[in-house]
Amino acid sequence: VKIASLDSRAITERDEEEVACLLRMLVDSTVLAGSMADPIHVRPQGGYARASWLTAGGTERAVLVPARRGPLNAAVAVWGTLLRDALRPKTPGEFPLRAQTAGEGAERLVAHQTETQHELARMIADLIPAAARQTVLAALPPRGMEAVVYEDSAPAGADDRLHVAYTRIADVISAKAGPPPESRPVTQVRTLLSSILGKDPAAAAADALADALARETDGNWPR
Amino acid sequence: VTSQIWSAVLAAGQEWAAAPVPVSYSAPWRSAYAPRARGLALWAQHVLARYGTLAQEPMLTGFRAALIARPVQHGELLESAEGRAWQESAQRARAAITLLAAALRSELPGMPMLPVPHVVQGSPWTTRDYTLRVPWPRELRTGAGRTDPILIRAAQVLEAPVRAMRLGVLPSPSLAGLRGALAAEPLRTKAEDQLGALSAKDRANLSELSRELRMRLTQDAVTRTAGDDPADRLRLREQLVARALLDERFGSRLSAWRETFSLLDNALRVLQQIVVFGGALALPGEVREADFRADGSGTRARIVLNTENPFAVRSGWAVLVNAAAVPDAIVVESLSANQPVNGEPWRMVVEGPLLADSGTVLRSSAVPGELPAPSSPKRRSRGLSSRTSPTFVNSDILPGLRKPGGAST
Repeated sequence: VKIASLDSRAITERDEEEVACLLRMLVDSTVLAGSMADPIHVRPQGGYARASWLTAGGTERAVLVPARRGPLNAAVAVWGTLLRDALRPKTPGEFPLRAQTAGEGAERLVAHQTETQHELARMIADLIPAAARQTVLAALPPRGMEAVVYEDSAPAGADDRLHVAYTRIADVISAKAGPPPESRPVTQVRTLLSSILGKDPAAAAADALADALARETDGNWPR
Repeated sequence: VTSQIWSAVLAAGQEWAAAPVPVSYSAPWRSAYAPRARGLALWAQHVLARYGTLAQEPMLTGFRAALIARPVQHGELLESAEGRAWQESAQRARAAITLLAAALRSELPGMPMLPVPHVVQGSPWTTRDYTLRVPWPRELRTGAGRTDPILIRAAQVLEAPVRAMRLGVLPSPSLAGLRGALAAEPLRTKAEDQLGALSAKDRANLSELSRELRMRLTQDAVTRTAGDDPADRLRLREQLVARALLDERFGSRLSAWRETFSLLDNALRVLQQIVVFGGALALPGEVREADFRADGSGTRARIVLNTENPFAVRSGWAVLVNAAAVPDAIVVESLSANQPVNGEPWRMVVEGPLLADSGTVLRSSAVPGELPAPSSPKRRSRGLSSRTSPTFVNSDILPGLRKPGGAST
């Protein structure tokens, strides 16, 4: 992704094969390769190049990039689009019922985090080229979590009273109900429990993966 | 979708924009980002900065902001004589767009009896809770061919033109033209065909889906899941309806009806933007990347733009970028912006449906998006706390409004 930003060869229709070849190198060891039903077509459009293809579902997909930014940039833009499609939730999210007690909240937090980590592992195996998996895994926060779920009525009258203080740790996911920890190490995060449980595990995993990819690339890609 | 619909939206929007009530209502919004904004414009500036989501339906922004955003800086100006007069114009703007939306929605195939998820009591269009949608109360649901009185009333509320005849009044040619353009849309014809093809069993299934959804949208059911927070309650209502629209009993039978409703909602948003701001927002800056994907019979786009100023855009607005890259307008459903550390321009990403065949028409009246930055780049729309949980009664559109005399063409 970083190298692509340096590709300043102008792109034309003649580069169609190069874009397709570069893209194959990026997606061949992943399920993304099966999401395209035909080869890439590159056409000029104003000062832009339009790369289009048919999806496995038979619908047209297209990406537009400035023509002056080169075939590698076009291939990376298409790759980013395939990744975003794969990370996008397939159905509208489901609003989770609120936890009523800290104990229930702790149980649900463990279940949520466990499922999120399973989803994340699946996404990495499915979507990230084998050669890049270790780099992406290293860019993710630790898999485990040590959490305390507690009640806090401040601000007064607030509807959402369950909070969580957690620290990321290597592997084990654990949560218990209890008073808020007195110490506040810099690695500890405090937030509303609903801000974690409110996001579907698949969506949370997709966000974590996108964040890791952004950290390892230009700060934004593939978002 | 044809360009005729956008021409009709532009004509109706410009007609309303010139009417006395919208001129008064729009003034603070149009000058909110002026270099030396004063009075209500200063309040409007703070509202847009702190409660940006309220700007989604511009003719409703004033009414909703006056309820929710009084504590915002300069909110005390609403109590001045000027502020009270302006609030009346905000109420009229809200009434007019609600009436117009109701008239045009009532022209959709199968109305008012078709049990679609949108009209289920408690949906984002019918709830008495906080909502960002243009409401569609039960008493403003009628059938095709019976919407003249609603259109006339909508214009009269704004002191906008109606067509005076010897024996009464008719909607202005612009409003009638808008209704006609929607009726002529191929998508609407397809919706009509789908409706005609429904079997008795399909209709029974639709009614059953509607009943199930109604049970999940009651006040108690929503409270059990989402608590009292207005924003959470609205999110739940939106999610439940979105899932119902994908349900096989609706989605596989009436996809064109759903798309026609969405087209109408987007047309109403563009119209409101024309009335309040003068037109769709034209964003300067280089398009770094855009991707397009089919969505039903339409297209959704995601556009990455280099811009010097990302503050002009709000969710729900129609935006135009470089025509060589994306000829048509996009309705912004999500947006994000960040500033690279190396001093390069802001990188903004907008995502939403493209308004097919809208480009030529909407570019003719587009307003520039080069507004000065009003606030810190980190500022975000604030959530609504349960302590500011207003009840939005949708059925009080008409009472309390002094009936003005409608100007005639």
